[in-house]
Amino acid sequence: MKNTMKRMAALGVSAALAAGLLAGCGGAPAGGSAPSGDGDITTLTWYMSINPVAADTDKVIQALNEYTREKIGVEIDYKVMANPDYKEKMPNLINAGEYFDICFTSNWTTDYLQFTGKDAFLDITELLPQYAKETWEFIPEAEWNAVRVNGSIYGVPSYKEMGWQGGIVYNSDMAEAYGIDMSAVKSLEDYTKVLETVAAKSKAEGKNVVGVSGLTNAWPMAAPYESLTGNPQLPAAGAVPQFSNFADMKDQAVFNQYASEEYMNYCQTVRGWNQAGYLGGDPVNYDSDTANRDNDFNNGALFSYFIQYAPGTAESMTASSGHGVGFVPLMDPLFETRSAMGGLLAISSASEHPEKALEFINLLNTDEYVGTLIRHGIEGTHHSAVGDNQVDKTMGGTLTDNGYDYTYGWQFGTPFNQKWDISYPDNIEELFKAYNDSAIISPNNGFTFDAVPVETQVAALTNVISEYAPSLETGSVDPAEYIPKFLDALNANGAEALVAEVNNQLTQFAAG
Amino acid sequence: MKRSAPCTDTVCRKQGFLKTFRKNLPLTIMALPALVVMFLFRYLPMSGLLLAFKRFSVPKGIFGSDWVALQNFEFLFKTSDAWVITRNTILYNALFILLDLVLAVSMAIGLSELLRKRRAKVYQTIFMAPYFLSWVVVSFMAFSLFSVDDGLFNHLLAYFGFAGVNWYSEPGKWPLILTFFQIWKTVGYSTVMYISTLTGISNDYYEAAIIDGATKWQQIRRITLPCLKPMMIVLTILAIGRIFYADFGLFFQLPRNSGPLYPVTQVIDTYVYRALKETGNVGMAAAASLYQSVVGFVLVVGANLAVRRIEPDSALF
Amino acid sequence: MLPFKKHPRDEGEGDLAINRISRRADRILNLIFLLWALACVLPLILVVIVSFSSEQSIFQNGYSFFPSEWSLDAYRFFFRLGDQLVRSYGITIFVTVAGTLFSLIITAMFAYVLSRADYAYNRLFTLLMLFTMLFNGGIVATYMVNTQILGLGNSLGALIFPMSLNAFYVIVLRTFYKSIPMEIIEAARIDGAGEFKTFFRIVTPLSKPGLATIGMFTTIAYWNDWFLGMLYIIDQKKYPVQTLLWSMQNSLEFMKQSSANALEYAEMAANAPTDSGRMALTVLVVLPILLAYPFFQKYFVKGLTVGGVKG
Repeated sequence: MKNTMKRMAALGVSAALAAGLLAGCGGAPAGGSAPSGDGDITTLTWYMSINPVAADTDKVIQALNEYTREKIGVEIDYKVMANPDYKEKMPNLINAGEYFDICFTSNWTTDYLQFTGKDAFLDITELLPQYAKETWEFIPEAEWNAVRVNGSIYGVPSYKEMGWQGGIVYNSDMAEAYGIDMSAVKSLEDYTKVLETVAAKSKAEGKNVVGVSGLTNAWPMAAPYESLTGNPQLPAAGAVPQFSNFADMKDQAVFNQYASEEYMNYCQTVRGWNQAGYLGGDPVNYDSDTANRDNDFNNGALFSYFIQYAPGTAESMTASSGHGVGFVPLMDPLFETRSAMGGLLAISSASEHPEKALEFINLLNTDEYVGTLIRHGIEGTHHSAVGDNQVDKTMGGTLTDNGYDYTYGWQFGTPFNQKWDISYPDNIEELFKAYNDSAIISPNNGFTFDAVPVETQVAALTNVISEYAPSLETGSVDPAEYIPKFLDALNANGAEALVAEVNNQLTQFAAG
Repeated sequence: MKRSAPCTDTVCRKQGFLKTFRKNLPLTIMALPALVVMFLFRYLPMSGLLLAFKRFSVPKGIFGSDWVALQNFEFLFKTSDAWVITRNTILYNALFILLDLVLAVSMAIGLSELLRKRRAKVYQTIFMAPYFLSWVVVSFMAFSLFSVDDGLFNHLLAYFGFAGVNWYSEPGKWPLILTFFQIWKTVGYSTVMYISTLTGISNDYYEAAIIDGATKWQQIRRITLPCLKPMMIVLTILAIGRIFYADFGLFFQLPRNSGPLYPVTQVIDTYVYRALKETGNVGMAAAASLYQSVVGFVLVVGANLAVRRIEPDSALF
Repeated sequence: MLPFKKHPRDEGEGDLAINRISRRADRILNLIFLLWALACVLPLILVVIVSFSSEQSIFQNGYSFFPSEWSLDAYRFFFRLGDQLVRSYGITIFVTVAGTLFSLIITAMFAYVLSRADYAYNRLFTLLMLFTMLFNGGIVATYMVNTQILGLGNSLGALIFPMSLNAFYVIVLRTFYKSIPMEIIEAARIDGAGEFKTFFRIVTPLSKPGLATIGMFTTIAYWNDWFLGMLYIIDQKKYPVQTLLWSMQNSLEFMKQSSANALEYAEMAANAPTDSGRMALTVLVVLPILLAYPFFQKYFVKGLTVGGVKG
């Protein structure tokens, strides 16, 4: 037995030794200014998530480096991955302490708040006005406030449309054929009549048209509220005065939206739709299969669905669906803290060149050459200029053959210093401006909830919500019976503690 | 450990150790590559277990992060579903272990008794086929059977004049469905394991049995099963060690994450997945995994003890 | 696949032929196996058919054995990768072959050592290994060790070594070795054979059914793995084929879900073969290894007869 012990001890010691190495690999805390020297070229490591990775990426980065070397003395070591790959790899790379200067973060991949909480990103509040002055001035203050965590900024947000706007996209050809006046639809209740007409008229034609889909997103659009935890599903909502809803919760700054009258009303409305057969046989699964939904929509087997709208969407859908597409907003755009987290570029807390990194991010956001290059590639090779503001990317072939062609320019920074593809309407920038001007800034914009004190409750609540909410919100179960059950389960798993904690932090936020 | 002679003083003990070591050196060298791999790829990362008791910070690393005592474990027990989750995980796995054992052994014996060996080979290959399909693909297949509007089953029901069933919201049907798919997917794999053991049984035993006039059943009971027993015991003990781990794909993908089915599909792995999707807390993930490991460890030690009482040669350790 | 034990009757000894099961029993068994085989093989056939169906026909009729329209779109989508696909297959084949060889050798040697009752440390090492099966350090620490200490980031080593020692396989093989009578090993020793010689010349041939089984499972495990590639390989050019296809398919679904906001992609997204693509991916991954089965079988059977295991 002694032998056993000795072997164990020996193994233990060497394990501890090797483990000592592990502790060190988190990297030294940064913030200091590593010398970038005069005339020296600084190389910045940039991890980027964009879909799909273009074949000619190396060529474009080469062109980019030529420019940035001259302009700010920076070269980019560009590590780009497709979105699904980035989502798997990047969190591990950061956790393991891999060195990087700049990385893409958001609330849908490599979560901004999670990694800020793990001290992975650098506080750039002080550096911004100095090293990224133009960007600092160009992006509205509301955006900057929204990405603050405990008062500090840890990433440069992508400035595009501000906030989100819920509404219904519909087949406008069909609406016309059935004589439906969509402009009369102002709320969910108004829509019942529309669905009735669609069902009746389509049946008369011998077709079986599904009236509306996308209900799993619809509830926050029916009665918009501010998601104080950053997650609209968690039961901690704040009322937005402009929407004049949630009268029954008037005296509470933070409330459980599932306990509101609005939730009951919403669920009953969609329950009615479900029972009348406007939603197809299995709305939950129908919603999750977007490919099938899009196909039904294009073929006229689906009349409408709920979406979060961005300028240009209806035009885009008209082009892809083969029939007219209209949009009825159910609310004005709402800008809240989480809205700014669709995409950010953050600097590593271990970065040796945070100033240079900021200067580079500044170029991405304000320099038209850099913006267009990184988005559309090299002029003459990947696109040809059309007028001053537009590009044509077909280059005499199809888009598929283009060696550098990206879906989402804004992931690199902002679309406003990138030329637009000719498929967008000419007045696209004005559309964006109109949208952003109409956006309601939520009352507590800039408040970021620190979930750490209630992580246990959040974990349990997330499970409860995914158990009950989808069936209630698609009208698959009777709200009179299931909402009380849902509320009991929420309370049994700490909904009250969550509301109290949010309230507490909100009070401190307001005071400080 | 074996010792050549009883020693009391340190010198002698040291000599005894050296002697044993030298005597066993060739076999130790043979084991060395595996030991090195095990050390580098399994034991070095074990430091991650500490994360179960810590709040992870990237710059501070695993060792420098702050201790939070047992806080990371709370979410596993503070949910009102803790009982349902534990019950589901253990009952399903216990059922799977039992069914897999009985079916795989029966199939292995059955296949080896077929009169045409070629056919047996073809069957065996085909039985492995489901093992190659990912749960995601299986879930799409299953959806084409169970879909309310377009599913094969509802079409059949309608054809025979019955009302359609909303499969994804009726929990009562799912224990059976889940069990079927689990067995369908894995039994071929276990069967192969038993067949290869069967192949190793010497024919001398059977020849002797036939001379003694033993029937087929007697041969199976007296020769085949006893020869398969060590493998059955080993595979079962190992499966018991994983009784607290549920197959995520089976319980999450196959029921399409359907809420109304949670009472019968919520298992520890799906709960942890949903719980941590929001917070991404690596400490809580480590805590959940440690909890599963400890339960598995206790059960394996227990099962092994029991086996050692009854059948010392088949015990794992 | 694995060889079946030959029956005494196969050796043509008349008096042993009585040991067959009856024709009726054979028929019943065949019927049961046939039904189960259908349950196993029909979904696979359906996967193949759906992968060759047009998206439109899938939308209209769901998954069907008789699609209204055939199409190669899904394969075209993946074959667009061209050289990359070939390179990725090459990487997967290399990793599978090298990984299986390496893994099988260290697993077999280790299992053999642990099976020897006279080995002084067998209990210690068995416990150490069992421990690794039950406990693991989690992804954060594992990732740190593999990338920061062992420097395996972005290298093929990261695809081979981490899964080269599976405690489960060690224990299964150990069970096989235990059934080898100790007298054979003793006899070899008396003849003057060292431990290594005994293992490779005497024990290995005797344990071929077990080695073949574990070898096959290891091959499948290496072949099917996409996750290690997804975690450790940064450079898409070095992706094994599973990782590449996984990434393609997910990018496609990602694009489809968010196509509404990108005008120029709308048309491409609308025609993208998601449903058939998913199945084509399965076919591209599963088919090669299923087709390799007969060769495996042949090779292992041959190995067995050469090894002289008595049937």
